[in-house]
Amino acid sequence: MAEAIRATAAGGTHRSIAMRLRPATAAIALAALVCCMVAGTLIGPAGIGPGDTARVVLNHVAGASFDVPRQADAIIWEIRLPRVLLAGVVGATLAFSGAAYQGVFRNPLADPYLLGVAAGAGLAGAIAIVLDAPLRQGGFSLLPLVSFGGAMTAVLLAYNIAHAGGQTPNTTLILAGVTLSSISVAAISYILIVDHQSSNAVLSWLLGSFNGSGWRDLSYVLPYAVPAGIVVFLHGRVLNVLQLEESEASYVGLDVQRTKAIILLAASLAAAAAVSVVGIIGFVGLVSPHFVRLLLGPDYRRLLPVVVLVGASFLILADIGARSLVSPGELPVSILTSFVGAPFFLFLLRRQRRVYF
Amino acid sequence: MRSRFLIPPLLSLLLLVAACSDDDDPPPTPTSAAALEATATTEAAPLSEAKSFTGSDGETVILEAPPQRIVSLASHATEIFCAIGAGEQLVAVDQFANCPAGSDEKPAVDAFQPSVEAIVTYDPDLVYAWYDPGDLVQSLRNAGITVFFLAVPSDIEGLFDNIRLIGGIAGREDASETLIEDMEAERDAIVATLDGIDAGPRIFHESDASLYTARSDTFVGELYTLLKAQNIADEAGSPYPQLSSEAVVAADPEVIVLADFADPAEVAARPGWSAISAVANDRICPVNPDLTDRPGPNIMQGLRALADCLYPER
Repeated sequence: MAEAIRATAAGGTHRSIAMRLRPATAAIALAALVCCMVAGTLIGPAGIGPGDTARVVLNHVAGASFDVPRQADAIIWEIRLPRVLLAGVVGATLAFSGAAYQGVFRNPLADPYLLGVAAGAGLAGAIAIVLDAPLRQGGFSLLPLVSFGGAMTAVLLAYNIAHAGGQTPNTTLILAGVTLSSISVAAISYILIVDHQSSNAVLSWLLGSFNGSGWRDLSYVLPYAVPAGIVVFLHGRVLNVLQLEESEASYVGLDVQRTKAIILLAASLAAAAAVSVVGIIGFVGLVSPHFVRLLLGPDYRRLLPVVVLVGASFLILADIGARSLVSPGELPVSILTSFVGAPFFLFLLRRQRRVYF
Repeated sequence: MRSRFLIPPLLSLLLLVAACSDDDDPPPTPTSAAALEATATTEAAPLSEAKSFTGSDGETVILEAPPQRIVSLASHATEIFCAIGAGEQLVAVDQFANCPAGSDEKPAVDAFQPSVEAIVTYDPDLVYAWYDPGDLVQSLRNAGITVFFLAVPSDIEGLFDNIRLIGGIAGREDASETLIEDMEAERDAIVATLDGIDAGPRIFHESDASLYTARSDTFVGELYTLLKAQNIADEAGSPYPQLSSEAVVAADPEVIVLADFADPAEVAARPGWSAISAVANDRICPVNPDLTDRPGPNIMQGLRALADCLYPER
């Protein structure tokens, strides 16, 4: 990516196209998110008409008092709307944490899943579920904290294993992360085998699903995701500097190791919170930043807001598929994100391979 | 039981781990001589009293005498062996069986990840299998062990056929016929209490907290059909579908049956579920899935529990 910055600074054609697209791209991304949210609220196995749907939303949001069937009210307000918003928040969270990881590690393959964050969070969560730990305290879930502990253990272990002589070689870091992921996945699988009683709970959670989510789940994620998101956003310029070699970055007065640690902590907290509520959802954190980078170029200050919008839209769309494609049945949402996200990513790579990374 | 069917694909990668966890209780007797003997038995020409039994894999097992060292890898079969008085002929059973004859004290093998080596060390003269992970059955046969493979029955008549077969294998034909007659009588008595009912309540049978359920064309589904209930899962595209929470609310079941040890209060508190008739009218029944979902001799107890749940007034 450092090469990309230098290349674009030298006035590559890709850069000039990207500059012209910029304001329009952000507006289009926002409009797309709004469309996805509206579609997500309108589409579902219950087949409630747009009139009733609008009336339910107005009743709750605008204090109106339209007469709607109780069932429609429950489905729209208690199931579908929180599900759409949760998918949006989780998609945004995975996207910005994926962007932060890619920036810190200067590695296009970095995402919460590949670096052991999700597997570490999953392992810690699975252990907590199996041990039947008291995770709900006064309406506030401790599962995100437990998952966060697992996520951070994985990241810090990987970081410490790779860190040597004041630098952290990316290849070593990725290998350490992938290896720690394998260990965590093996441990999770062992838990699934040994504890038949809890294995369904663990498995459903690991496969990733918004089925049965409500406002409560949203309230579990937001206190972790929002502050973490703000931290990452405030580091947009720093992420740009980090694209230089570590030694170069320190010449401009940046405490590289400390800054990296802060961004990683924030991104991991956000990813862990998302994983703890909906399970492991792949490809959102990997694809969204790359997609936006192809449109806007590598500047993180411009990148991050659009990444968030794209990640949210992508996951809302995937979740519409998860609850509609086999209606009245339900598909794990990560099947859809991988099935749609992976080919799309390959398509982008193929088209843009000359200017990419 | 149904929900465990999800796990094998994932677990099949992890046979090694399972193999390690199976060997807690290595039985005392070594095997090779007995294994050879067993081979000789199956390969010998049938004697006049020898009986043959054909499993659902098409393989025929020839027995000169009822086996006395049976390893049962199926909870439902273990319970059938026990119910016809053949519990003493079992040397090892799978870990989930609830056998009145005290199978708890018998060494347990893992029915979902059985280890060939662990099974062979029991020196069995017959292994009963219903599920074949990682080519288990062929591996056992290659080791010279007689394996009778019988798939899980898909309805109650199939269960009766299985009981007859197991009775024949165990040399307890009379006991198995008596068991079947008792079960038929119990079924007919329960169904008779529903005279005059045309259409029973809409039901949701929850196999698992992530909303896995069963259609009418499944073993547990037939129980609801007998009870004249209307299954809300029948629209789904697979026999054991996972439903959207929204779809459950939209179908508005009048009774929710929890076969997953879920807490009814927590089920009632799920987002949006207060709009479901079953929740509003407090018609949520926990049942023991070992009785309702397992095609064994206790199924009529399960049917009775469901009848009590669906028709508390009768």
